[in-house]
Amino acid sequence: MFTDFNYDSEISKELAQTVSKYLIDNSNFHSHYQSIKNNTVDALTHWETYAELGWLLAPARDENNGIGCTSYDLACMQVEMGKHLALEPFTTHCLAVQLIESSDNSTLKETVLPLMLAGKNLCAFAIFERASRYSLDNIETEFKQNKNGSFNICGVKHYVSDIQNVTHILVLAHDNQTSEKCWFCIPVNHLGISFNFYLGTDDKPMADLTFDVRELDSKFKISLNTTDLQVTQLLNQANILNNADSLGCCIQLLNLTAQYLLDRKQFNSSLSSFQSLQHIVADMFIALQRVLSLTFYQAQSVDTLLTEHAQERIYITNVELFENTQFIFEKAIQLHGGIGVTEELSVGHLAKRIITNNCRYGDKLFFLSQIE
Amino acid sequence: MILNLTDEEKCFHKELKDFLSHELTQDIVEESLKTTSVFADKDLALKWQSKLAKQGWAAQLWPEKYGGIKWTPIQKYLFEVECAKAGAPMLIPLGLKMVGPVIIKFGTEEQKERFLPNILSGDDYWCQGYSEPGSGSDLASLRCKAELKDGKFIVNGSKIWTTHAHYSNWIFCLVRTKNTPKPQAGISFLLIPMNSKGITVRPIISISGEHDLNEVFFEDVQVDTNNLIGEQGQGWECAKYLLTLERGASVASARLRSTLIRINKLTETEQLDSKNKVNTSFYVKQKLNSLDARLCAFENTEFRLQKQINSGFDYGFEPSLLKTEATELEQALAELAVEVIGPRAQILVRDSLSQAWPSATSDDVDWALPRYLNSRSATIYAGTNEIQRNLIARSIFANT
Ligand SMILES: Cc1cc2nc3c(=O)[nH]c(=O)nc-3n(C[C@H](O)[C@H](O)[C@H](O)COP(=O)(O)OP(=O)(O)OC[C@H]3O[C@@H](n4cnc5c(N)ncnc54)[C@H](O)[C@@H]3O)c2cc1C
Repeated sequence: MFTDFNYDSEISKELAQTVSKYLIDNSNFHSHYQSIKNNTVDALTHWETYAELGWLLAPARDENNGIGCTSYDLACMQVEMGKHLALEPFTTHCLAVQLIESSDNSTLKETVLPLMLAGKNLCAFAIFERASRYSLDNIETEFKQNKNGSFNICGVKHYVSDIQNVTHILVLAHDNQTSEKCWFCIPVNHLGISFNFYLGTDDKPMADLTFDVRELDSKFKISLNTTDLQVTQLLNQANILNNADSLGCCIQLLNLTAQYLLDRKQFNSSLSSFQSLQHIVADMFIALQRVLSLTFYQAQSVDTLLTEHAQERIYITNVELFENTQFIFEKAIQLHGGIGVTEELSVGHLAKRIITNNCRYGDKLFFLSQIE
Repeated sequence: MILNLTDEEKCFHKELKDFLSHELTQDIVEESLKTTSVFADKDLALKWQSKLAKQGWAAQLWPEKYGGIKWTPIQKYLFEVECAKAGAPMLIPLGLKMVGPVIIKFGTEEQKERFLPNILSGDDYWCQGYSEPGSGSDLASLRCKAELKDGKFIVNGSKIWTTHAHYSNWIFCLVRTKNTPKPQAGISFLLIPMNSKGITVRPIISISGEHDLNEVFFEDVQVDTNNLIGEQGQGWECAKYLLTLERGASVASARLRSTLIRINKLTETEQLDSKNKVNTSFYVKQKLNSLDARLCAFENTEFRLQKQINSGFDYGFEPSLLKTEATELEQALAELAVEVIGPRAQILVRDSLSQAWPSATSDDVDWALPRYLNSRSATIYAGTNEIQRNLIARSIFANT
């Protein structure tokens, strides 16, 4: 009932509905939980099907044989993935496609991109460093151009998500002389990259990466002189898709909670008959409406040119979104009682997914500090 | 807290600090800092308990003749504050603060002799069998039954959310011995050895990935009648007494204060951006200040109400109020800690992972996220905060 929002376009509606149908038919919480319990998490189970169904074409432009979806369309798809706790790296895929498309590197566009759209190439982003939280004005990972035109890249990147079976790492580094920033697309098997793998709070594979890469062919340089605005725009896009994912989680949490209160009886009454609980559910619903509106507001505004004021608005709406999504999962847990604080129900997993989304490409403190 | 200590209390204060400086060794403190669950690790807690027991300080709710200690509210307060400050682990309350006092109040002399020494020494480790799958907030509807047959109770049913059942050799249970029109009247308080034939324990993994909780199944479990505490049908009275202790018998503010100090330190080390630490954030400063003020209020409220409870005052709203305030403060602090660590909350260090996806290398700040996740249960266990609010409201209206 909470998913009946008016889609912006036929395409967003159609995409969201096919994603929803496929995930309802092909994923379930039980097998998700079993894979976590047995430590056999596979984030790519459905990736081939994502490619076959054409979903991986969604973010790409027409000229690259893509569908050319807007941020809004992509957000609609991600909402469904959040609802079903999909582990597939769809957000990362969208961002990687957009980054490569926007570069002036035709080799990457001709070789790496088509295979990404076919589901054969997978990229992960290595952006953040422990010493700077989410700030990019002082990143330490640096590159140096050699006389033969190749590059050396050195540094440590933390919290690299969606790392399973990636073929390329998209690394943001700065020139040790000029401080200019540049993205590189490094093949994962290139000498000089070491991985420290782990499972994230949201049960997705992650890693910290150390780079001591020598003689990287210049064809893997995405674009020199990446401006801060370009990076910020990419991170805005990332946050929007993450917020859409959290919106999906919240829709699910509210549905599950309402159903649980209707089903569970205490004191010979359905929990849904207690007024204090009715008020909490109503507050969750009000918060969900805020999340829904802000997520799509962001999705619609991100494609337009950014003014400084508009960027502040994105930051402040992120903070509002994080607070409301947190409110929803905390109340969902509370209203489930004991079973809510276990791994045995999807409630806890949806909560942990929101926690992770709310600190993946920026968090409350960082965004607040940007506008303080 | 402003305390005007008497000379005697000052003396005690010094003795306490001396004791802690000698007995609370660094290894205990370090291990204790890692605690993220509701209870401390069993072995750690028992190690500390045995040191306190030697000093005669482990059982503060017990009369002296059973190894307890008669302290004034100020002494109790000082003890909790100094232990929290020094980083001592929390004692496991299940024996010392829960079943122990029930046995003292409702048990026979023989039962006191039989059970109390082993609680104090830590040789017996207890768990609490109250909640059932169908009976949480509505505890009185419990169905696990004990029928008298050939001079033994035969127990059938199940209990759930049983903290540390997998470590325990005894469980104190509320069981239905009679179907009565008023469900409370048919409940009895029974002590059952966990190694009895017919008991099985199923682990329940918490949202933080830790194993503290369990489901306990009883199938034709035979229990001696001399394990019944009080009379048949007196279980509800025992339960209510125990729940009051569970909700309001400890000084929660001292540990909350330590957590606030710990978060303060965290803000000095964690980065806000490439140049500034988190403690430069206006939002964080404001939040720390407001939590400090709220905690100051709670410290004083707790001290005031504890004094009344200790002086035998007939309490109504007090345990519920203390439970609600303490647990919601705990959650607010845990929430701030997670905000402070920011991106690191993407990592939940889990012991159980090893093969395909190992756990991340642990880091000094890794207590914050599991602590936050586990703090969500604080407003659920020992009677949910919604139920506590019902009780507070009832007390207000009854006295208006
Ligand atoms: C970490 C943890 C440790 C625990 N340890 C133990 C233990 O060792 N032994 C033991 O016996 N139990 C233990 N418990 C169980 C605990 O006491 C119960 O979880 C608690 O009583 C709530 O019951 P429930 O989980 O069945 O939730 P429910 O009673 O089903 O409640 C679900 C929701 O409905 C609300 N609700 C219910 N009735 C009302 C009402 N009348 N008015 C308003 N709201 C209402 C609740 O507040 C809650 O939000 C533990 C629980 C946790 C989380």
